[in-house]
Amino acid sequence: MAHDLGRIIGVVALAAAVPLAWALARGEWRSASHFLLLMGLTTAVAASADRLPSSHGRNVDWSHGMVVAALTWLIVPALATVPLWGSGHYSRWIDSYFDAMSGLTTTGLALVQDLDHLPESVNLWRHILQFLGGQGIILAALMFLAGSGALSLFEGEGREHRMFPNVRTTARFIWRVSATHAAIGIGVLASVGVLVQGFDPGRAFFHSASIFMAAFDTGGFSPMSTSIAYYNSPIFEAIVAVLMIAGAMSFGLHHAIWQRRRVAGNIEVRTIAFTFSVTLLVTILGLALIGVVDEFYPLVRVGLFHALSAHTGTGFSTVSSAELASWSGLAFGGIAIAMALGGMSSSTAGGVKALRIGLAIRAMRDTVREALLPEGAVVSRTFTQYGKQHINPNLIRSVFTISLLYVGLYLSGAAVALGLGYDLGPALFESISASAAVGLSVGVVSPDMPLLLEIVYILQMWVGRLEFVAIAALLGFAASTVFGK
Amino acid sequence: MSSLLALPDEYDQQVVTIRGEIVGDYGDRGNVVWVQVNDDPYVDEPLSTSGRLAGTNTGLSVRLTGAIPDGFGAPGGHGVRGPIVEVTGVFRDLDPALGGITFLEATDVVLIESSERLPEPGADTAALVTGAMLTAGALLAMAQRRDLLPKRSLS
Repeated sequence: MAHDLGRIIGVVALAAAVPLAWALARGEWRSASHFLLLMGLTTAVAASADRLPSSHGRNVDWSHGMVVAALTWLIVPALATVPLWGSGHYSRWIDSYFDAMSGLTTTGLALVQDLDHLPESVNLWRHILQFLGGQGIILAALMFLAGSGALSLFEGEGREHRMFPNVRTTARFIWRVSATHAAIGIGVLASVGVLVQGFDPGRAFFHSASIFMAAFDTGGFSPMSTSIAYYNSPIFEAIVAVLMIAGAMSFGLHHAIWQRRRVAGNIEVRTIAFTFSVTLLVTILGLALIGVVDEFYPLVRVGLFHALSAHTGTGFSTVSSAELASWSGLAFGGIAIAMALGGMSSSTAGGVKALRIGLAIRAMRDTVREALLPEGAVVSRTFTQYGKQHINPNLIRSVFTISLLYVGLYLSGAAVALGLGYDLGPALFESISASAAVGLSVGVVSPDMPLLLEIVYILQMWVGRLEFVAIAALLGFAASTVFGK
Repeated sequence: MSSLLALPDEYDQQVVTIRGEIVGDYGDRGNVVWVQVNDDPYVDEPLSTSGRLAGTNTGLSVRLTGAIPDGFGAPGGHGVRGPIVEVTGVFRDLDPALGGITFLEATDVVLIESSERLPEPGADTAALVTGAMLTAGALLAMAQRRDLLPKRSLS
């Protein structure tokens, strides 16, 4: 177990080489020394784990793979804090851990202070964390690792669908898709930055690389404190919207599109098209009713961008937190429901996910049909996702269990915030945002928030990203270690 | 500026004056320049010199007509305290003409202080040495584990 954990953590050392190079190029010497320390620490941890005599030659079974996944997602954020905490832009160490967890889980809530003066290399590191977390830290390691535990490690990170029989080939495919999107996305955003927005080419590249990582991995961090409002450009927003959609699509769907297979009947595509249309309409209607925007084009633009940002779990915004907090009634409901539903399974998005919503609706519909049809009539229980698949009771049990656990997670964070004196609306909004890895905020998350609530949000981000199973395995492992089997 | 952002409806289409630091980039689009002006405690007490954290930034987009006048210097960012300006203009909340952007349409800009380069802190020596030693040690250990290093024989 330690051997696998060490090698996965070693990926962080490789990732830190990029901001180290950036820091050296920009003369950010203090940040460069912190990135070197981070690389040293992660390499030392990886080497120590590699030298443990008991860690070789043992097969990783399913539960151990899950435990490794859960531990990885606790340890890596702790290591990732080195340059964040070293920057001096955080009041407490746990604030930097909050941001590292938020980055890796692609949530996007932030406690960094004076972001607009943060060293570029550290800012880039925040976005690299989102890219690494969105793609999957373990998935990155699986490109190089192979072994008996690869499948459980893969599933432990909240992924279900393998495009290829081999996990390593699947990991490489996912990274190939991401690299292609990166080349196109960064190129187009940088071109718009220079040609339309009039940015200096170097800064345009910095903005485009950061925004690409945050958009495609549905993270929501941004290099500037005003998020996407900083860019004041409909073209820029449109490109970001396309990247958010690409990020919220499952990699299975990317694979099907790459192979030019039909995807129209796919249960996830149909479900997300339906839920997005409904939440978009509700949001736009709500904005119109409260009179935030009167005219059609800005109403649709603002409503569309925020509904999309919420549903894909990205968390970008073009309005301030104060303005977002003033959206009441249907607008609030539309955004909150969109956040809770989330993107597709095996994508970089969080939330309940379209597949579970679709299957739950299908199961309920079949039950009603069964009750209405004559006795003895057979109801076909199938759905389409990369081919026809059968709905069996175990699948439905799992769908309802995980969905209910998400609802419980949303309510638990809201209950803690309520107990600490926050109003129900903001308490629920922020809890959903943390659990579903979205990142939109109405102001509850701030550097002076209560420590207890900060810890609860950290746990919600962790649990929500790993989708419960790996956490249950870790708790079981801890219990068996303490109390014995 | 906090009240502008908290109650944008009330200030919509009103002439207001803000004072703050230009940060980020000059978005030079030919006949207009887009900038972000921050009005927060870091304007008067930059974090890198005071070391005092004072919360998150508070900024607003400002659209200036024409080019950035000489003497402003680089916009604020790491190691740079951007130009301090006083901007008077019309506040536009989710402006329909620009598709829902909230910004200040500047009619008058006064430069109060040019941008200033702040001292870049040197490398954190302890971090540098520890990081280098840990990296070297770990790589050596891994190389030894994988039998990449020549073995010394006893004579």
